[in-house]
Amino acid sequence: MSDVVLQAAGRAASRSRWKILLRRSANWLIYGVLGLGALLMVAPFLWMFTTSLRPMREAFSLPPRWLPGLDATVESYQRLLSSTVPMGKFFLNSLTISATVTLGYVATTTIAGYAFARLRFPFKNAIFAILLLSMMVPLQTTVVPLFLLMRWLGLVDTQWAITLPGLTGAFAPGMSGVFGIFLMRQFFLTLPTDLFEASRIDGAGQFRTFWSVALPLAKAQIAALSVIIFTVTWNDYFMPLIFLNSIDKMTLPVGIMSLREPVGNSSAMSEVIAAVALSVLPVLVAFLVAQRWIVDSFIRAGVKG
Amino acid sequence: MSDTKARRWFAPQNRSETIAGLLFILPALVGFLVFVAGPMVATVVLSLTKYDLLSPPKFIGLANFQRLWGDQRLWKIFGNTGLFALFAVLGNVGLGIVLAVLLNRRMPAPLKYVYRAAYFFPSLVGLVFVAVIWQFLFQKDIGIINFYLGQLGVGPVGWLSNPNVALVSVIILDVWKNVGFAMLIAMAGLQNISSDYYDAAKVDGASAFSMFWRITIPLLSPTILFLLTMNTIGAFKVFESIVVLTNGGPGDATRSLVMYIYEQGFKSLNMGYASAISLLLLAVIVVITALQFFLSRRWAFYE
Amino acid sequence: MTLDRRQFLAGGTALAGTVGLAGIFGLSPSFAAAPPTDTAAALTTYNWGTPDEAKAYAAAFERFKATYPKVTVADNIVPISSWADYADKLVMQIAGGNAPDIINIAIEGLRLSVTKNLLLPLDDLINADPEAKTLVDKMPKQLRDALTVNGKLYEIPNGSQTMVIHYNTKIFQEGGVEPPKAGWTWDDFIAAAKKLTTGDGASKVYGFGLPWFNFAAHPWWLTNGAYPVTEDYAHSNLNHPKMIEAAKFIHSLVHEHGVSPDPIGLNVYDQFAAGKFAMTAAGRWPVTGWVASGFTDFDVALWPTKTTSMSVLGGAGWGISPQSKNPDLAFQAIKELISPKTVKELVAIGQQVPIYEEVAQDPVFLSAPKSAPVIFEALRTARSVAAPAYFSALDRITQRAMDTMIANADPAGVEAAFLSAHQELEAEIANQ
Repeated sequence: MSDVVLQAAGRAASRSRWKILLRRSANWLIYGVLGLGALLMVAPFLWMFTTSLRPMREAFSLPPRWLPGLDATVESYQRLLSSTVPMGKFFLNSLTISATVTLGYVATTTIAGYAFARLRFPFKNAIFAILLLSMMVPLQTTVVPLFLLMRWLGLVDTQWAITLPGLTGAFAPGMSGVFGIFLMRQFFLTLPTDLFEASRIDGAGQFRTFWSVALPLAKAQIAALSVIIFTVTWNDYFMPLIFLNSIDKMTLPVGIMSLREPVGNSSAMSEVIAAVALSVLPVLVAFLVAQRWIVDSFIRAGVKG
Repeated sequence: MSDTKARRWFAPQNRSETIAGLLFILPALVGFLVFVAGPMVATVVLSLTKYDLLSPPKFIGLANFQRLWGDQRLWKIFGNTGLFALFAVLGNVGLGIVLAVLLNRRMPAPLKYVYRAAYFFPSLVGLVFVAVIWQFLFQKDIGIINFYLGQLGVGPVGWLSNPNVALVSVIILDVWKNVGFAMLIAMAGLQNISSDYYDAAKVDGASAFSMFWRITIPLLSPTILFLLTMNTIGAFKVFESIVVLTNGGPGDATRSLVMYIYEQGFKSLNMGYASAISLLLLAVIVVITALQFFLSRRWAFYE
Repeated sequence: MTLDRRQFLAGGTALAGTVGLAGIFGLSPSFAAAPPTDTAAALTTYNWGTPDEAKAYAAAFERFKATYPKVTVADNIVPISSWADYADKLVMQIAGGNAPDIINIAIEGLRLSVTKNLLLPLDDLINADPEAKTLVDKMPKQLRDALTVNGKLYEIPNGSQTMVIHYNTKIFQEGGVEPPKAGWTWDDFIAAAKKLTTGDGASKVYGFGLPWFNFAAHPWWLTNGAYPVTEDYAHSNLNHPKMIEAAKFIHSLVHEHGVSPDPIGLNVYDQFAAGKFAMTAAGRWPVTGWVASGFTDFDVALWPTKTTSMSVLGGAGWGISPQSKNPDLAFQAIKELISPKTVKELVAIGQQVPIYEEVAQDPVFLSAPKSAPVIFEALRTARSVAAPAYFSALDRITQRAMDTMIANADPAGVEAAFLSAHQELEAEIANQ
């Protein structure tokens, strides 16, 4: 009797040992596949950094190198920065535009989101519905009249052409304004009504309530929104392409693209790669430092959206 | 819903709230009217004109739309954009979900951290920059991908120069860049699914695959819908990646609708025609979004 | 320019566009001597060039300011992806209400600019200023003719460009091939390129790095006696058998003879300097960069001939916008830009071929490449690049045809691509 039980137990044990082995190897297989995928994701950046550190003459010769070797040199960077290509200007322009748009966009959409969430006023639902519908209208379909508008306002080839819509929360380059309103509204809806009751009883005015009660609680959400808006504005190519002409007004994406052309330009491709490397570097550093926070911001926005 | 009809907005006890509400939304509303609604109306008006910026607009009725109908280039470009949208969205969302499920397993925290970072990083970098890099990778005779393919004995592929392959290259770039974002969203959605479901299923002896199809997908459907919608709209607007990678070429093989709008409006200076194409793009986006919305009503599973 | 509702709704075409008025004004003023030196004004330019050239221009404007201290000059350097894009952007900018005073635009954009009334005829200004007249008369007649439309000079030449074959002297020597000689033909070219296409994978060297833009394709048309537009510039000539024959030759370089790599997405000048090509083609513009990066084993030769020996003439000039509020001041600034001192500084940068013979004899300019006089000879027999009023459409459509033909290994595709391009271009011309 016990023999049978023992035998059964033995078989069961070996079966479960098999299962554990199978599961473990499945795990390792998955880690391996994921790892390979991760390598593929990162490989182009690796190539870019390495190429920018290779001697200019053979920067693009095959076989390609993925890690800097003993002949690593900063020639490409030196050539780039000593030529009168205004990298500094590009960077500054990108910075000012992104910062301005982020500030304006976040401010207007936060306060509007609060109003839609917590205040009652006529036509509220109708207006919100229209705004929501407008999220489907991409900038690209209204770019022609937008250009005409900016021309009429005399703002073509100035930073204002790009920052003005952002400042008023109409849209940021690449992102509808309603996104921000929607996001902040979602957040403010989650706040308990008691908070506002208490404030009302205390006799605080509407703005006071917003400023002192609601706003401090929204810090995380505001930070998340800011990260997203700053990123999309920084990376945007379309709006500067349409609205900016002169080279010293350009932002990083447009400026670097202009370096690539064969006519009227003597920048070697290594210099362009170095320029791209310089543009990616801040993002990389910011990401390594604040990865948690950045990722959480995007998740927060995406999930609540 | 609130008693908006019966409410007296300007009664003393309601006045401050009403005024505050209207004032608070004023900047955003003005911005919307001036920079979104106004231009939207203008696009419709412009589409009925011939306007080249140097002379006043000329009203030509529906001629632009007639031209649109017979424009061979337009339909090719429309087809390109549609194909791109289809595969880019499938790639992004599909691969994103798969990655999310795989990464959601129990694994050493540092490993998960590194993987998540690696997959998400490309999303953060400017599209223009990565496209410059990828142009090198894709070059036919001295590009890196073909170099390694050559070592495996595969002939050089004209990633950017073969009209049949060029669109694939653009899709590859798009998926590489955006899958991380989809993965993140999907991961967040997965974490919202209670593990009770899985535990119960395991007790019943369900296999990993069946758990995936019967539990994960249905419960993830709101997230999936969100990803599908956002990605589709984004895909139809594709511009920068193609401009940098192939500039629409070879020929028109990879040209997208927005590129055509830009070309007609800002190069050929046919602003009226460009507006007509813009309306076409808008119509497509609206139809697809509406479709997805209605489908979601039928399929999405909300707890 | 706001929409006038009445006109708009009535569907009539406005006769007096702002631009039309400006055009009328542009023809009438008579220019006296130079404006007084205490005039106050703000001039803007629409300019292009490398950052080093920008510095030279800045120096010239400083010298101009010494005479006119109250005048400021804002020099806008606009990046060029192609001449068509550059011209389009200029039109957009002017339409945007921001007309520049001084415009630097290449021959490619000339008729386009004249038709859209973006340039002032300069003959009166030049004739009224003896100093300027002397300088302009010294410039090569060919260049001045290229910038003349209907007998009026619209731009003062500021540099010229042509296309020659650059070859790697070391590769030719090691490959045992004689360097290109005067009068060599397309067949000689192919033979040399084939012999010098060697290696595999990482060590592959191609015979010819094929540059892939409008200006670089022209010498192939020209040496076969073809031209992209008809003689009167009014129609497309893309369907001409000689154009198609030349296009087929280009196609064969990649697909039949294998002497050129796929040109799409390729920067040939960097690769040439890295020793990946036995030959390539360019004007003078990459030379300084090559020398600076340490690559000196190259020399130049005339383009191989088929039916004629002819290269393409390119170049740019300074023009003044009819909407400029200070055309005479702009002219004075331009005078400084064409002064021998400025031209000398530009020569040192070496992008373009200088406009004055004596500057071109400067040892700095002649130092590289070794056979620099070949470039002059090419210029002498060159024909100006096709620059009709519909240049933007011509450029775009031709480029697309070239892209389509090179993507298809079958040479039959060449004729199809060019015929369809011809139809498309004719349609665009009709639409304008």
